[in-house]
Amino acid sequence: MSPTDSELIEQSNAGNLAAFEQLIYRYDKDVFTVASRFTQNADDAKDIYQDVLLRVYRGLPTFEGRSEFSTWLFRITTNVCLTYRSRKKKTMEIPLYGDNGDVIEDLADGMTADDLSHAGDITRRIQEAMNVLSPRQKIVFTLRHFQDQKLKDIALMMNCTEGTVKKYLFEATQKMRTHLHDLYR
Amino acid sequence: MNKEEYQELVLLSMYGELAEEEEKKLEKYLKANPELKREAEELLKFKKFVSANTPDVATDDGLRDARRRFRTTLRSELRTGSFFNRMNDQVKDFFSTPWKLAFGSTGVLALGMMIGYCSHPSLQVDNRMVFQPVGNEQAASRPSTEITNIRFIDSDASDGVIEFQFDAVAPMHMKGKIDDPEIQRVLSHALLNESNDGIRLQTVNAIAQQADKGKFGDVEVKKALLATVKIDPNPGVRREALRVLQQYRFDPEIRDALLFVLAKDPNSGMRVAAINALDLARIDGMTFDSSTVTALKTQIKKEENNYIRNRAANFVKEIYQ
Repeated sequence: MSPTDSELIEQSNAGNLAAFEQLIYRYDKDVFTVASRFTQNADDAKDIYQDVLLRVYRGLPTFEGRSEFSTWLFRITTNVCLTYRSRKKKTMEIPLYGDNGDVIEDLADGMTADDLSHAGDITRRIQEAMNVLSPRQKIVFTLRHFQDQKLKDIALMMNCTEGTVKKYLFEATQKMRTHLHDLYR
Repeated sequence: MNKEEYQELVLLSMYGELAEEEEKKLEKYLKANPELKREAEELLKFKKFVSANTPDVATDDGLRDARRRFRTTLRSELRTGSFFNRMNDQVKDFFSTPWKLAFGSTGVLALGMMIGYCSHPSLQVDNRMVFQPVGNEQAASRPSTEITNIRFIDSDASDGVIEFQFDAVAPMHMKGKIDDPEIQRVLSHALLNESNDGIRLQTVNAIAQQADKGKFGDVEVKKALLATVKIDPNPGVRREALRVLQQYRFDPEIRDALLFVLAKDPNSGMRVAAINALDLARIDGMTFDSSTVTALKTQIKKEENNYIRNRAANFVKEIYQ
């Protein structure tokens, strides 16, 4: 029978590096996926992954087990994502708003899904739409839509109320729909 | 409930976040409101569209690379000790929420004013520091220094200021006693970070020569050896590291390293060396707890090599006697 998270944490805290690796390899794919979805950039995702796991390693002796290890890990992941400053900041911040705050409507230049024959174009449009979101809206959308995390768990990770998470999800969805309406309708 | 609240319910329903009662209420409302029903259908299309057209950006190769980089960083963390990093984290954590930032800033401001008052009675302000590079800039100005891995923190020069980090690699020459802490620090670093197999082998040999004379390196050297025996890509280096570790006083760290080798090392010679080392420790009178026995029993089940399997079974039997 494989050891539980608590057993591995205990062994890790006793200096067993293999136990620590076994523990994090249970969840690190999800950490990497969230970071990748959030940044949409492989290098940035690797930076976040590294930062998160180092924080976990350093903080493990102080982890009191009041929540699941995975919840704690994703809380750190969420915090790191929210405070992360991209190395490629300029390429990530694609302006979708005009100076007066209006949406720049000619992004797709009147094209329909059929016109965007290459799948990459649609993907790019989705990425651009994601970049319209604020960091909190983006992390909530990423965790709920792509990672299938429950809203109450996201609230725990973000240290806020479930109502606030719902608000971010609603706002994120509305913004995304606005920017993609010509493609999916 | 207004329209927007129902729209929110539609969204939550789509993600399966509604209670049964709320679902029924929404269903009833949708029947009576075709406009909202259409919106619900559109929302579902949107969800499917985004899911279908968003590729999985986290590739296995990317994850492998991230893991490799993390292991290197962790090794470095183990080598240098984590005191400064923990301090750094604590400072970062302290400033991570607005109220903490506010209190922190006030505190820092007050402290700064006090220090300034004490050290500069004339209260003259010296702004030169603002324009000075941050970090070890002197090393970078040496002609023999190689500047690599420039990482921009702020490349926006519109305000006339940019900020970046870089690695300044300068050749150094050291000569000294092998038990000198500085020499040992360099050896530990070489053991863990040198890419050339031959250099790592030379390093572990140098440590071995001292160990053979009964002189053991400091705790950093031991940590480096423990890491080397587990993760060095070269079996020759791992084998020599294991041999040196056998000369240290047997303790739980060494036991765990040996069990790790036994369970994970792909080289059967290494696994043989590990079970032999454990057995020697047992003969020397070391006691082993139930976790060791459990680990060995697991190993007996999955080990392909008959010799190792028999040695492990014999080891377990001897412990129980």
